[in-house]
Amino acid sequence: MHMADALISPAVGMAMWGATAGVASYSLKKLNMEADEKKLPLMGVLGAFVFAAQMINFTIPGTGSSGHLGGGLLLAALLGPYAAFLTLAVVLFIQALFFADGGLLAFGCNVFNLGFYTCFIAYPLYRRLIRRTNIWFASIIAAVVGLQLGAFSVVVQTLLSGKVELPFTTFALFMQPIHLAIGIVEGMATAAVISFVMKAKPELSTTNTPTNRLIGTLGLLALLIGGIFSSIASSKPDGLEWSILRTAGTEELHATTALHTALERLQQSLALLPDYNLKNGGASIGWLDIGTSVSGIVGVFIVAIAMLVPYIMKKWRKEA
Amino acid sequence: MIHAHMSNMKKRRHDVHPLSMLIITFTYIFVVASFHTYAFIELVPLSLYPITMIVFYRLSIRHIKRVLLASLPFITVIGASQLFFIHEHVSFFHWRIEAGWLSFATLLVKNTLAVLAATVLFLTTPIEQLAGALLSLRIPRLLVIQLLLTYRYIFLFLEEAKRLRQAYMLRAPNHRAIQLSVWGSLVGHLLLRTFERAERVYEAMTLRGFSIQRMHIKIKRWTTKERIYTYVTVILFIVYRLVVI
Repeated sequence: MHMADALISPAVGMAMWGATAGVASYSLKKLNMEADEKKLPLMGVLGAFVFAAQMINFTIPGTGSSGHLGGGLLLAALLGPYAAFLTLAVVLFIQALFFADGGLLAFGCNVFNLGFYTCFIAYPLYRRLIRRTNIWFASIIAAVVGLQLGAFSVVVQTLLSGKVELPFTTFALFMQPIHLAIGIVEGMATAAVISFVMKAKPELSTTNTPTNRLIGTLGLLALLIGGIFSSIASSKPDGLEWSILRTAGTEELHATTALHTALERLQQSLALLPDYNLKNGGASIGWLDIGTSVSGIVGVFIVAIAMLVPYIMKKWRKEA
Repeated sequence: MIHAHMSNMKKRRHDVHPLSMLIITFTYIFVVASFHTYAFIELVPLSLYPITMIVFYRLSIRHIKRVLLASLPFITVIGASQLFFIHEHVSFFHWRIEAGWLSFATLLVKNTLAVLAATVLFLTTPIEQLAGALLSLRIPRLLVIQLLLTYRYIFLFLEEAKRLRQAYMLRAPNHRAIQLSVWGSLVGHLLLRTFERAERVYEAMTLRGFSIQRMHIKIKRWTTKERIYTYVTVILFIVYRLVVI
């Protein structure tokens, strides 16, 4: 699922670098490495372990093929989400630079797609599920959720970049089922290793959870509203548009001066999601308008990142 | 992989500063990625940079070929899809060809150039010098140390993983891969050994008086000559991009 440099535009690449840098700084602050210096060599050797484990293939039960471990969820289960995110970022940097697996411009996209969803969404889900069900079920569900979100991000980032002509629905229908299968395999592999380690060394499992219940619930609600309910939002004008409609007879005022036209053209070329839709328009499945749903989900993430920045800056200032 | 890196380390002269290499590589990839879907011809002159570096530093062609081949599958699938989704025709020199083919070729060239640039950076810059360059770019010290530690142990663990797989295959010659039930305990053992190694590494580091802040990473001085070389190369790439639209 590694994104390549050839597929993304510099704007998307840099935006994802920014998002990754924000999450990495937040993780560094939360980790408090000065207090737990012992974790540093552990992060280093576990990063190297992920490389090694990926070399050992296993037979996928019920099929004739083989698969290997991805390692994100396993790292989160062993190190906690913050250390796991940083370890994965370093692993992906080495893969991009030394093995050309994923690009350098696409590094931010890859860390976000493979690290953020696994450590900050799939892992908390795994911890919740493991209290109620068995390790196999928890691992498979968490790995599937993490990979589905990651694969969906690849689709969105590729379409926003506009470097290839791929209809949203076709690309998503190609990526999501493949990553469903990969997620199940990843979950099984993670469960196989963790259940062995739990028996041999139970003290190694971590108890570190990144988000409290309120933030998690609000985040999920925002994604649900942005991703699904935005499609059935009213098509009637909002308050301001209604007032303009009543006074000027049109919902939007159009200026005709050269400066306004030039600025409007610039805005149209810079806008990633003009009019809450994809640049080439979005397909729809039944009542679900894909373009609007993608805009909703992207919007939720942008707002979440924007909310994180002042919090991190405030913490920095306090420590300085 | 490591052999290609090591042999290049021994035979070449380290005359390009790692910070220069890092900045030039990023600008180069940035410029390559910024070209539009059908910019096949415009991208070709940009191949001069990696080719010059490969020839000048006599970099391992075998390694470069292997890395390039490994990067191809995903990009080929996405590129091939363009043949089904783009039905227009465009003029290419004197011919009228299907735009899908041109888009496919452009994607392959872009991917090749980006991978070549990253590989040139990897093969010409020792990891400790790269770490110094990252520090001077204000990348947090902890991440840089983490990079050095992971890199230090990757090749050790790869050897160990190879031995484990070989031992299993010798005992079960008819198996294409390891059965999942056995795989869990096999990789689990490797993981437990990893933890023990981490303990030993930590003890050794503590005995030598290690602390994150005190760990010495050499930052090479960036001379005026190297600065000028970097700025000129970066400006050349950007000017080329602005002129060829």
